[in-house]
Amino acid sequence: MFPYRGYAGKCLYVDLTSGKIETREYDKALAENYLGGNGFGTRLLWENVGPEVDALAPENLLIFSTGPLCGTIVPNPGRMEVIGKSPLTGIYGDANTGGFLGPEFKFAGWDAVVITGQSPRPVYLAIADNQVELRDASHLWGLTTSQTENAIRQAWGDPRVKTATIGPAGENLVRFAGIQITPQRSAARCGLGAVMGSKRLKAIAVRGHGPIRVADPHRLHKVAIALHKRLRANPIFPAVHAHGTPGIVSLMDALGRFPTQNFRMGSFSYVDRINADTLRARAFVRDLACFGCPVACDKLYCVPDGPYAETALRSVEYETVNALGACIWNANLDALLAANRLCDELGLDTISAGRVISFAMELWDEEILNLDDTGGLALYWGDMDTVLPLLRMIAYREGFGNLLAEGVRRAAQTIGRGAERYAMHVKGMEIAAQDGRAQKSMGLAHVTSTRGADHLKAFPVIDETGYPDEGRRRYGEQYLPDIVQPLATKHKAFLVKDGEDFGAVVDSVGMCKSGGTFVLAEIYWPDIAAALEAATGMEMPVEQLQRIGERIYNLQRCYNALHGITRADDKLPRRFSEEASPSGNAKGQTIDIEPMLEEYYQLRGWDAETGWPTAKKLRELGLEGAIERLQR
Amino acid sequence: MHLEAIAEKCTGCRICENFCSVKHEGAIWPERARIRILAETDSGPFTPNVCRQCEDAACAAACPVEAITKDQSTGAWVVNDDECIGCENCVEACPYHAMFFDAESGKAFKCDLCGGEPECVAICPFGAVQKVP
Amino acid sequence: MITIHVRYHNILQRGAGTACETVELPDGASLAEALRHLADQHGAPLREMLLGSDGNIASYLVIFRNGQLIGQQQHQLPLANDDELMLFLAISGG
Repeated sequence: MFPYRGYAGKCLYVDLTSGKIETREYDKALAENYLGGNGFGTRLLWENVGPEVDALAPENLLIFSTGPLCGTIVPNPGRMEVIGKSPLTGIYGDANTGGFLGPEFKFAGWDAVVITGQSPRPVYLAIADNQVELRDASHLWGLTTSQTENAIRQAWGDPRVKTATIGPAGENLVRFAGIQITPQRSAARCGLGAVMGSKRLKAIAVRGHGPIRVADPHRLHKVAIALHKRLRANPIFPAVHAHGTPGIVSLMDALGRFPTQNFRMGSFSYVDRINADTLRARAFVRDLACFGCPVACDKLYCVPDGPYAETALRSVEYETVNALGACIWNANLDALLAANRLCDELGLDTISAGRVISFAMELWDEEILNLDDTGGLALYWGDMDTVLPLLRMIAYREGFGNLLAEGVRRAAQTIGRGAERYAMHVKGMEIAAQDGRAQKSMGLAHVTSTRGADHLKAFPVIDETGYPDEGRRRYGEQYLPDIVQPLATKHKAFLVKDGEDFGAVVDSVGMCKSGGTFVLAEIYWPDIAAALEAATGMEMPVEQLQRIGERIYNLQRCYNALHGITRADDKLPRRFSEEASPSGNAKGQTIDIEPMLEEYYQLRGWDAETGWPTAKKLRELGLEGAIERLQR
Repeated sequence: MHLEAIAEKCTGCRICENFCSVKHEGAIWPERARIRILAETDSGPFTPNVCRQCEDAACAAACPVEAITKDQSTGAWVVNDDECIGCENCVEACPYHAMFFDAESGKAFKCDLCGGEPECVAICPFGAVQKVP
Repeated sequence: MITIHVRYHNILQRGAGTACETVELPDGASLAEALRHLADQHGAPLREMLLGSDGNIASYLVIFRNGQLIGQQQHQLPLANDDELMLFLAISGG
């Protein structure tokens, strides 16, 4: 019997080709060495999905994975991971999500669902505690994500069913299609919605009525109460609660870290029209929270009047305000909200969707694209009367939308004519709302992230604003003042490496980075170690936990190495080194990634030439099997 | 003492349900929480539903074996597990749907104000449930 | 006397009761003195947002002067006429 609490102790293995559904006990060694969440998913990809497997082939895995702290009483416990090889990048892919689905899996008695194969016809997976079956979804195929959830709940007769659904974008294999998660949150990045669509899996629906048992409820209660108290005493807590992630829009703009016109600039002349204060005044309805979270950073918004009246939505994040706002030069907040809602319904990652459009708009501006190329669509900056229909065209792969549905890297390759210069990606993943010129650590983070350009793997937030207390709390005095200065490069390789290892653990246990682990910088290694011991009954000294984080990250890197990723791929688009930022605090700045990268490889124990983990490092982490496999 | 909900402050986070069930059951178990969040939609409006510890408790009146009695120190109506015969009359009688039945143990369960220091009041981040003396 | 322009962001606006204001200060007034003046003018809750318990500028206050991020070492430097200050709380993220 599985010996640890906190976990449900069992996983579902679903083969959509045969329709076979199997229950397997959670692997004890996997739990001890990788914890869960993205750690579990990484190990399964490594073992089962080799470089010969196309991301949209039946042999790719799609893994929904919770962690041992997901659904418990530590603060920010609502998160889970979706993992699979990405059809956008062709390498390791994962998408993290909050809301209420993760805990529901655990109440139903499942830690993870591992999906392989391809169904002959559209289906959805229905999990009612220990009753699991595949149900026909042909009547759902083609529906938007909220239509799908409503229909499933109606048929089930229970409004408290939680779902993961794809929309038309996933069905049509858009390479950056996402998965919507109850309640209207997103497992958005890396195109895992397309993987789900390639398997003809329209949705997973879960309802659970059981307990999440923990090893030492009394000790966990003590740990949890202390963490709740520390979070709520943090001087920034009220501000994070007040606005959620859009609360940083004007600040990032002032820092020159708010990508505008496809990263030509780092500040938006009309930022006041789309910032948190304006958003709140225009459309705020109420505060919302994910499962178990005291921050309650989510908000329900509703546009009160005008052409987009009655557009109601939640989970309006900083990233989307940038992607469908500044980066496409859109200052119309109502239209931004409508576009956000549309992406949710179609099942599109707002970041990549916004970025393919800003890419196309810059090409239009540079006269690399003309009306013949676009099928008659004029792509002027900020024209939302074009953007909204274009989002649909992308989701349905119609006309010019079919090209953009491939993501900026492939689209640039197809267009040629120097388009690649304007494709702002790393390893095929579009860059989110950060600018390495304005915050040097983010430039490094984009380059070293294992899923392609991503800020969240390392999530170096303590050096955004120069606020020293967060740096001091986490690392002591030794790295101050440089480690918290956005334009400094000293100690940033350390900051990124530590963030990646700690972040890998946060993503494997099921906690949220927008809460105490990163944005409020209150929760760190010893806290998670103590929470794990109390919840699971595992012994978890801090050094062991750190090694787990390192192991997960190194295995992701090994997986990418198998797929041909080397140091040569660890680079930023030339814009960041060749074009000085004109904006805000970043004015005059460029970024040279090489010195930080050199230092990063040293800290990681990776070979400076190949960028691969050395045999020594792999042995240290118990990954001997990878040594031989990489040598081949 | 009894609990009062201030619904406008509720974000639907369910921290109250989680701490309540940990306190009483040693597990995170929404089906065993004594406080329940009612949600009109996934995005609210939300109402914390609590036992009102009624003066003339309908649950106590409905109980055929007088298993529900008032704790004089806290003011909470408490189910005596030894006496409870699992008839569920109390569940039906409660006008607030604040009485529950555990099919496994065969006993009714309800809010007992945690012996005087309600967990939900202590942990709610926004004061959406308060205690009234 | 010098005139400086102050913009408040996020919940600082709630504390100040306004999004922006213009303030007159004596010549050579430093940034620290300017913020103490604002804290005195508005009282709580803005005071706690601007100043720490020791009366110095709160470590979680982020200040831009004419578009440049100001570090702790610059708090005593004198302001100039028509300087624009932008004030934020040090929220990070995204």
